[in-house]
Amino acid sequence: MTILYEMAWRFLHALFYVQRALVAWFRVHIWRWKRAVVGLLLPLALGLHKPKKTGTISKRTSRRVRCGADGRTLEKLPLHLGLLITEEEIHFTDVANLVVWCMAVGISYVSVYDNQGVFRRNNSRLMEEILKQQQELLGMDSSKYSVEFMKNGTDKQEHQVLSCQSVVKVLSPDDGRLSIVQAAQQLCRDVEQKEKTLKDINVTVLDSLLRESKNIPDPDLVLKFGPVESTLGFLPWHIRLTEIMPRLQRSVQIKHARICLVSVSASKQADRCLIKARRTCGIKHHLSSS
Amino acid sequence: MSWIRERELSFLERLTANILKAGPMPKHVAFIMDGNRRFAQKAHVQRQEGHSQGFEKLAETLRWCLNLGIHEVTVYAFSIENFKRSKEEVDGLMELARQKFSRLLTEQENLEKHGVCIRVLGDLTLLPADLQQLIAKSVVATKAHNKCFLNVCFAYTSRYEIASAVKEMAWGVEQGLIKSSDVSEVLLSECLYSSNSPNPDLLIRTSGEVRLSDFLLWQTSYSCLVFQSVLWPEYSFWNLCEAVLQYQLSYQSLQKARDLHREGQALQQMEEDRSCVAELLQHRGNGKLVDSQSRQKELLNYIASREERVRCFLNALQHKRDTFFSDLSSQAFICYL
Repeated sequence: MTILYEMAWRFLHALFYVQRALVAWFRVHIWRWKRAVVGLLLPLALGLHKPKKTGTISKRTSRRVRCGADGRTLEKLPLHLGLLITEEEIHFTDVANLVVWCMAVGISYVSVYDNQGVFRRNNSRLMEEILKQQQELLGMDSSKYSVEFMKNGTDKQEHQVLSCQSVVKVLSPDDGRLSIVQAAQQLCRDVEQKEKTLKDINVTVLDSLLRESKNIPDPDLVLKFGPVESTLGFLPWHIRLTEIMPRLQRSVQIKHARICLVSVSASKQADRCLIKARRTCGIKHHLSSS
Repeated sequence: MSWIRERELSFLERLTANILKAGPMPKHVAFIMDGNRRFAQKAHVQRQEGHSQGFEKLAETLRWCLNLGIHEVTVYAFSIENFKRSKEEVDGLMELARQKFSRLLTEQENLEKHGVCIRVLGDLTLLPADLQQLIAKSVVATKAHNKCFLNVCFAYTSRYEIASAVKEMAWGVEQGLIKSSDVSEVLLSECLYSSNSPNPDLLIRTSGEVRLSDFLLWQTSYSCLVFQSVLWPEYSFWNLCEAVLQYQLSYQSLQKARDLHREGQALQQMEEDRSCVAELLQHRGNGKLVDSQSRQKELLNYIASREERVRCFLNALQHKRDTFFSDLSSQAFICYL
């Protein structure tokens, strides 16, 4: 009897894998088809008469135009978008591509996280890829989008606001639980040295201490890439109200995140989350118009 | 029993349960029971009725969990943020809680038969005094039971819980039970309200929201998160099975991530111990170099004494918590005399 149940269990799981793969394939192709239709019909609908010599527009320009179009269709943008990569094999080019797209669309704070610390250890490689993709994707406009790479504790708030339009932060599990533990150690040391009493320890104090060392704004939205349905240690303190985009598909290719962000922006969930986030988030990012 | 439905599974449900149990099953499931108010709107009933139906659904879900071999369940019943809702709604929820905990106290025999241990996690001092006493009585009455565990988060938020754990460690330091260098991830976990439970394997949120809403943020770092669009009062056995299936699909990767994290924790602790010993030897040594054998011996001594300190501190903390509940509970007893 047990063997029968085991066989039935394996069959059930196989069925599920097939279903997920089909849904993923379907979603990507439906999106591409919709995009193509919109691209064709929108100029007609708007009554544009100027003949467009599509043949002469370079691939780079069309990608730039697409980024801008994406930005305009996304009415509400997250202030801080987290990219949580749980895939076994990490494709730096795909991640860089996505980060640059986020910047071009107008998201001012993008964090990249994986639980093994691969991005943290290969920070410079990611930086190079992002700069390369920035050049390729944005070309002449790339100077308008400056990127500040933050990798550890010495971030300066003023520097971020004055000189940068977008901040890219590489995160690892050390920024999560370990940061909370370090703040706890600090508070306990203060009590040990009689500089603080128990009454001085509360949520507000702990929160300010965490922001003092690593000024990471609470993520409004997290996009998860990979088969694992978990945050895998991503900023536990900060994700109190974060919308965690559930696996829309078994995302084998990170570039399909565009689909996620566009569909999230259009969704009711995003509206609620972003209105709430704007109200509660105290961080201001300055973006000059492109 | 009012808190756990007595209904048995149908043939098809039993068959599905047996198939699922052929794979890895979660031992501890957490629920964010969202959607009571939306259900009330949909069904054109009062909000209070929605919450009441929500409780009935909880009783049913606990029965399904037991049938699936899930012996620990944590539920998010009332957030500290919920105090901001209308007075009418908050009073209604407090009254519902009073009814349910009072009812629970009349079912001692059943609770003992099923071996149900009820724990309530949160800042109980924020609740009305009579409700605090009812809760304390329920917790004390079921403390010794160990067949299944129900953790009810009431007047709870995760950030508050973490801050409270930090405060407990600071209390330990103030009392001279531990040193600030003993503070670690493992120790913080032991100081949370949920210290007597393992971390949840699976967290389920209903009603389509995809947020954690300040629930078990620390404990669910490596849990499988399943967001389902069904409203809580409409939750079904099949919804639960779907969530368990998702857990099973993520199981291997989650195990790997957890193992990696545990290794990292152990390394971190080792580094911390080594650095403490180095500092200790520097203070003692007066510039003399210590050979590696003595250093190793010092390290082992230090680890043993740190573990002893921590053990004493955790015993003292448990005693403090037990005393809080037994004092509250005996106050109630005196009132009823």
